[in-house]
Amino acid sequence: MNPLLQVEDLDVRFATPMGLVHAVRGVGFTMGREKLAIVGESGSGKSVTGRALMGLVAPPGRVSAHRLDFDGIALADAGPVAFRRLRGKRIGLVMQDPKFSLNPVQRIGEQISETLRLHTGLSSAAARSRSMAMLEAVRISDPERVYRAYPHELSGGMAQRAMLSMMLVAEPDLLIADEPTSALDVTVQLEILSILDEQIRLRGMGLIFISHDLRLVSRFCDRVLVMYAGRVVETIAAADLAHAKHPYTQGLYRCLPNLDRPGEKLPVLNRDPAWLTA
Amino acid sequence: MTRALARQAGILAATFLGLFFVTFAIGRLMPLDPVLAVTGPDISDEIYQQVRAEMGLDDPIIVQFFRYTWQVARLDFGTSIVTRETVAADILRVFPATLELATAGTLIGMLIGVPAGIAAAVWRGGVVDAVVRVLTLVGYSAPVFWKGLMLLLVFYVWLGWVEGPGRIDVVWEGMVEPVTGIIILDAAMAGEWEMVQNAFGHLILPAVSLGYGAAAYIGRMTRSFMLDQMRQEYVTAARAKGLSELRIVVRHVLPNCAVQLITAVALTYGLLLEGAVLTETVFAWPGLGQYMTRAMFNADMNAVLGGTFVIGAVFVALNLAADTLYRVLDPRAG
Repeated sequence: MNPLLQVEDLDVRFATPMGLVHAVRGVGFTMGREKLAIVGESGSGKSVTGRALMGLVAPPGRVSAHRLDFDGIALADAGPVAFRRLRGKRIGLVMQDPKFSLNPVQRIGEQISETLRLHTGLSSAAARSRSMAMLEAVRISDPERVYRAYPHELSGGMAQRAMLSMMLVAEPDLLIADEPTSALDVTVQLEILSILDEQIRLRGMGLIFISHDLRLVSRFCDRVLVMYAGRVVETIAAADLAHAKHPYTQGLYRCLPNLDRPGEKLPVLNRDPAWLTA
Repeated sequence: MTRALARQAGILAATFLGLFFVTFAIGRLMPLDPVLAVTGPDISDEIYQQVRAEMGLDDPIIVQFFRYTWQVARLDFGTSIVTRETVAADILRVFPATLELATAGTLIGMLIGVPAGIAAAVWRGGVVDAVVRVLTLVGYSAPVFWKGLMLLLVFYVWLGWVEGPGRIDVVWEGMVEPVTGIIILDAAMAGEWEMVQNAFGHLILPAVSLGYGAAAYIGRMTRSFMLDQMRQEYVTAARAKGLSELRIVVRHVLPNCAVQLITAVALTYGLLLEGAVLTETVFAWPGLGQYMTRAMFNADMNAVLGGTFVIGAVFVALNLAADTLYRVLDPRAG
């Protein structure tokens, strides 16, 4: 059986007026229906990697890959149409801030059933009831109201659940979640994570969880890909993070205060130029 | 809802009071003697005082203001010294001509400007974008009277495809009883199709020369609104759902631009309704712009103030309409 996703030598470059920005440099990994985290600091290329997997890097960005296979479909040299066929139907994307990622002048229900109708050709009544069930599945207690609501009428946590519904309703095999909790209040972050976890397990799908929070990821995912300056510097099982080999991973892991040992001085992350080429 | 309406009505009343005040103040502050304007310069002091008293100019200024407000509220703007008719009757005669021209110009501007702006934004940096940008730059910067004269020269004088200046050929003048004052509508209602055709032939050139400028403005605005929206995250989300670019533009980007577009179109319409003096002069179009210009040259203050008031009222009405549409289209406006 094919792995769900196979990436070799993924490269993303942006030609900007200030020169060429090489955002992703030869990233490669293979994943099945598991929860894979991509972790790194701002500008490490983790978000761009996620978008490149869906063909969503807009000009002036240019993507190339030696191999980009999704469930046996070769996408490395495929045109935009091949990517569009997969988007929404087989690969979903949850973005950071639902305030911006939902269309402000369209009702939540229309935005969810739009995905469904596009990919399944369901009648509008059937799409409506499926969308309503989807809202219930992400633990929304009054789906009727949310279905009719506009995004600005919902709280951040509610809106992110609506976003999740919009991307899961067509039952994709892979979900890319790009910092799905970073814009939310701390109190709702855990709720969203537990919903996400539940849905991924129930549907037996793969998840790429993009985050800068190594500790969060270590509790939530199976495997972690640590990125620095556009490269994967270390791939490690989440359970082994405390024993990470790469100094950057160790640095990221230790740079958060520990409640058990208060008053301890936090270590400073010393970036070694050698990581850029390693 | 009731509270919103009451608030709207309050704003409207305040705006009109301000409008009354401005036109009233212009009438008092102009260095023109309203008495002499009526009587002519060669009169005795005695008659001067008598006329002045009859016109109510001896009363306290506040009394005069409320009397003026009361008159204008009943659409009584006094008599024009040029036409010897009431200003209200004059405006009722000339405004439909301007309304006809401005509506045609705005329609052309919208029908060309919006699609051109959308195309330029969607194919940003491409050939379409370059063509649209050059054409809108010309539409923006070429003076409207020059565009009018060139259009007349090419399509009327050389090619003879359309009718010349004026609203209608002399043979048709007075053939149909004016109902709306808009000749094309009146003729259509009377079933005079040849006359409709003639009036349309007269309308097309001035409408195009105004419409080109309007299309340039609306097109540029549409392009920048579109580009602004296409950078938003919800567009990426729509792509991630697998929607086609066409569907994204039609179903997601355009509805988000609509609100801003309405403001741009309403602004254009308002400017054209003010009476396009240059266009009306080039095409001998007997509209509000021509009427106001003549009134000003003749120090016909009643006509000037009446016209100013009507223009102000039109602006207020348009803004109100735009506001209402805005509320309908943008759920956030509430």
